[in-house]
Amino acid sequence: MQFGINLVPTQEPVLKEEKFWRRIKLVGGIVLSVYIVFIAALLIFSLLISDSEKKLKQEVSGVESQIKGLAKKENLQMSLKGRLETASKILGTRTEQKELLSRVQSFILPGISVSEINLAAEKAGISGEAQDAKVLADFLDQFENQKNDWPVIKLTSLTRTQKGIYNFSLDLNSVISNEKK
Amino acid sequence: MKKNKSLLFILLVAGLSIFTWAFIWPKTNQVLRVKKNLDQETVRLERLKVKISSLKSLNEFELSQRAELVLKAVPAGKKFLEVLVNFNKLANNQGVAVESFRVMPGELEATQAGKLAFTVSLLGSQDGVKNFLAEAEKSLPLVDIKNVKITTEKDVFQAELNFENYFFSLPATLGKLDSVLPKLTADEEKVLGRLSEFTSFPAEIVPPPMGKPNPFTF
Repeated sequence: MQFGINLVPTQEPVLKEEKFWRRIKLVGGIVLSVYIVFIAALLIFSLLISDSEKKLKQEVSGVESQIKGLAKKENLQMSLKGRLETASKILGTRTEQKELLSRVQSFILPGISVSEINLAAEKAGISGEAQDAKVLADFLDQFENQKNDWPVIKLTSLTRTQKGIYNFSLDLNSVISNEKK
Repeated sequence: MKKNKSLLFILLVAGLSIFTWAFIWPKTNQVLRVKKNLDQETVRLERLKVKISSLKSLNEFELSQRAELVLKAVPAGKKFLEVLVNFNKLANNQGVAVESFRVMPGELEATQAGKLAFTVSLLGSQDGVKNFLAEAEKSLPLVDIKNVKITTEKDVFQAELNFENYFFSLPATLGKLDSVLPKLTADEEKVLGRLSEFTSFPAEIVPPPMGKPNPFTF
């Protein structure tokens, strides 16, 4: 009868455990090294960035104080710009009434006497009297060529007196002010 | 031995976790915050540098003169007395009489930009009224004549003018230091050139008489 002693199975768990701890040590060592490197990098970066921040703050406050010293210029420029915007708007949109009046008057022929002229941004009104129908017709004919500036021309009233004088009221609806801008 | 190793391992992991949570995590956040701040401040610094170079390039004397000119054109407040004085002078120059002058300024303290409506009645010759209109349109403060009603009787022109005068008051503060300095556009430069050709009268407002009249004058 033979008796064999098998030593291998009793050694197997010990080896596995050692292998496990060896692996843990290795992985732990690597993780710890990376961790340390990360901490060192973080600290160095933190120091560098704090230094940069300090320098930048100094530079910013220096430039800010220079700007504060030039506040008068800035104030003048802001005032200039703001007011110029308003002035540009006024000059760009307003109707030059003297020009418009001269234009309207240029249509008044001999034989026409005007009693009232009304000028607004996009409208002009003329009231008056014409000595006879011929003069009135000539007066009205002139506006036929002015359709670009006054597209809507209305003869709002026309009456003939016993003396043969024609009283009229004419409205010129214009886009003259807008077109000239 | 095995138990000790396990305990040591757990303690080590726990210690590192606590260290990370208590120190590394806040520090990383802080560094990231500082970096973000630094980037923003760098951009701001660039803006400030641009602004300062723009400011330095401006000639203060020329700027003052220009600002003074536009202040005459668009005053800071409701300068209705200046407009009245101007119109009287213009009327005198053109031989036109100012029959009436109407304005409702309301609250005198102007807090922002706005406009003031006026009505003026004039009496004079045709040329006088026309010249008055021309001069009024080329005078400072700027006015926008909205409506003109002219009635004629023989050679006498009676004109009623409705016009608006604009004012613009600046805010008390200039705003952020790094705000962009506004530059004048080519059109605004042209407007400035036009305004320099406009006429303005020196402010000369006579204060109203005050106190009781002297009873001993003969």
